[in-house]
Amino acid sequence: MKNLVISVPRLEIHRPPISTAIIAEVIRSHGHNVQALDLNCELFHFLPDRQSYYNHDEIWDKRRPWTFAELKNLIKFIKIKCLTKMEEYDRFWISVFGSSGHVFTELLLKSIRKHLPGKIIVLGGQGTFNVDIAGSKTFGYKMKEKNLCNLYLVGEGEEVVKDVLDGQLTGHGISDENPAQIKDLNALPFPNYGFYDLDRYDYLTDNKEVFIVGSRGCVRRCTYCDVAKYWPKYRYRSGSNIASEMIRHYERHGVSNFYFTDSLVNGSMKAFNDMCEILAKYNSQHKAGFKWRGQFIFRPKNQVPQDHFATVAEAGGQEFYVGVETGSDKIRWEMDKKFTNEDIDFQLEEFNKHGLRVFFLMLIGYVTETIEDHRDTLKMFKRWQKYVATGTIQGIDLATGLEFLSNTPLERQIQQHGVYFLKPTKKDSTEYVDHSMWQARKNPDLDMYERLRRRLETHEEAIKYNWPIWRGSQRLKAVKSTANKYLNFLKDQPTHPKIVVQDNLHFFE
Amino acid sequence: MKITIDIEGTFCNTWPNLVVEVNNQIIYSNYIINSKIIELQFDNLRQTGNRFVIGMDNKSFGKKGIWDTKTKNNQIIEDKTLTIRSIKLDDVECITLMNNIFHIQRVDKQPTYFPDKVQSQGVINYNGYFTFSFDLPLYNSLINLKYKKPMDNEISYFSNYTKVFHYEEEKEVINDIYNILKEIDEKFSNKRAKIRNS
Repeated sequence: MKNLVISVPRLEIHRPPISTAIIAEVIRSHGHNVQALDLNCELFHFLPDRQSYYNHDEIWDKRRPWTFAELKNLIKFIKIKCLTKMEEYDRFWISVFGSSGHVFTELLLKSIRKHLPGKIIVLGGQGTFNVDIAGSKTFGYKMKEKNLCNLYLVGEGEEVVKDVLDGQLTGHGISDENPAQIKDLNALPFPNYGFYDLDRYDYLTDNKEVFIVGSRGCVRRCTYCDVAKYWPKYRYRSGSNIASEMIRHYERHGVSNFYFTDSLVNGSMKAFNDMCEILAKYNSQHKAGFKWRGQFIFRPKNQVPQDHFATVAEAGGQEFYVGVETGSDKIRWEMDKKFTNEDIDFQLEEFNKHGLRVFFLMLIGYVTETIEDHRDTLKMFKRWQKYVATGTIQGIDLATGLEFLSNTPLERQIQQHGVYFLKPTKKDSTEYVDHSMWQARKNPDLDMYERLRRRLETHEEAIKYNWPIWRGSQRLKAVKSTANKYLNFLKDQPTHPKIVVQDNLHFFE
Repeated sequence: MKITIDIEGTFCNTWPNLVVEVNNQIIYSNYIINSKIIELQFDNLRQTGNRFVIGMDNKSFGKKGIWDTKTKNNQIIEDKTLTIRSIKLDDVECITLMNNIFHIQRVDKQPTYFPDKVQSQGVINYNGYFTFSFDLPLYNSLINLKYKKPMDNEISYFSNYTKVFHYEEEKEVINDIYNILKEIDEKFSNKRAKIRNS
């Protein structure tokens, strides 16, 4: 049986997809015939320019439907670039990265069923497992129900794919939403990028870059985050195992740039330090010029070993994305982040000393945020402006605000905070509840209006101190859309609004 | 404003004399003997167009027969030079703002066809100076000078760093949102309060 592993838009086009590079290698090493097809990359080259490619983001994010011309073009793309390449294979393993893969995947599945009947379709990836906060069915379940796939796999693919190859049609993770977790990540095969033409990607620099997975899950349990839903237990590879993989990609493909997909690249300090020491040594001996980036957590100052950041820099550590979230120590503590502004002071100075760079990821309007907390957030722009001027702070993502995600600690605190949702009007509604349209009885001052106002004030303060606001206008357009939904919601409310209860959630509608 | 200069001098007949000026005021003039880190304070700044100048003024090119470069068999064996390793204003590195352009002040027997400017990465081989300008607030100005680039719309959405520090579009959207909030204030504050206080 000939297998084809397929990745679908939307994925970032700056690196080859890692999930399918792993799955294809698992299938190959299990003794089966396999090839890989990156439809995200194919679409990038099929469309006339970058802007056309990025214009599709709004469709993938379900912020607008496709136009007739766009749909026609996508169908043409599927016929020419997808189905013709797919017809010689018997079984398709389609990896859906997240909910932004749903729209294209469904269109592709319908086309396969229509034009290539009899092929076996197996869906996988985190996108199969996405579910709405109000408890609707997962994407994988829905596709199976519509007979658009034969199986959908939930959880980590490395083991369950082998089960399917061995003929199993049921079991943990096979069209079943209770997957087993892999215990030893060191035993997994390295992704095989030999399945891809690495020259076809739109790299961010002149050097090729690939993803690295050093760990799965997270050591933290930040209240708003749903990582634990996908990976309940934190597991990590040894530092030497990760370094070996990076060295292999460098020696085989000349790849010297890496992007860690980990929730936190320094989740395990031991593994992180071991990796850095090996890479630093290799770098100095072979002049490999490794550069790598990833999400990072600032730790309490007393937990950071001496010379730690010097070794990180020698190992090629370059840019780190840190969930600073707020300027208020109190709010950061309530989020379970467990570091303070003083810890940030220390780490910014160390970053500055060793030429490391940082991106701040922010979350404005946390459920317990008071006006004093908000003022603390405003103060941070002046406090750390020096590090913008030194180039240490490379960017700040002010994001769009707090959303209640399913399977998060915060979702479990909905009753405790007296959270209720404002249902968008028919004009604005989608099939989903808008998780950003919430208010909390325990913190009535922070209603939708006030959250929007604080979000704007924060943005203005960032502008005042000349911070590098990342994706500023895109984020603000999303905030504007929320503001319009709130306005429309108020317009449609009766003079005496009433609350209703649905699926254990409280709504004004 | 705190000014921190890390500099090294090399000897020939005498040590090189470093001159630092801000807004045409000399704030430092002294010999640099080997390596030195100099800390200065200058607070008489203007809102715009402050000019920082750093240079050397005592290299002799044949005056009274004295040459501050000595050669033997076409090799320089002694030379009066300064090498600037770092210039920090309020702890922020500014050496790149000199753009590697050194302005020469010809003296003595230096030929008239000698250029007015030469490319140099912080090394001072002649009398003359490096310079750059800045405004206040200092950090805002340094951020723009060091990092703000002309916008390039050909770069992809995810990686378009040239859009950073160009706030025009953001300000427009902020105004749009304030207008929405204003409409809510004017027309729906009652409903808003009823829901909030429910």
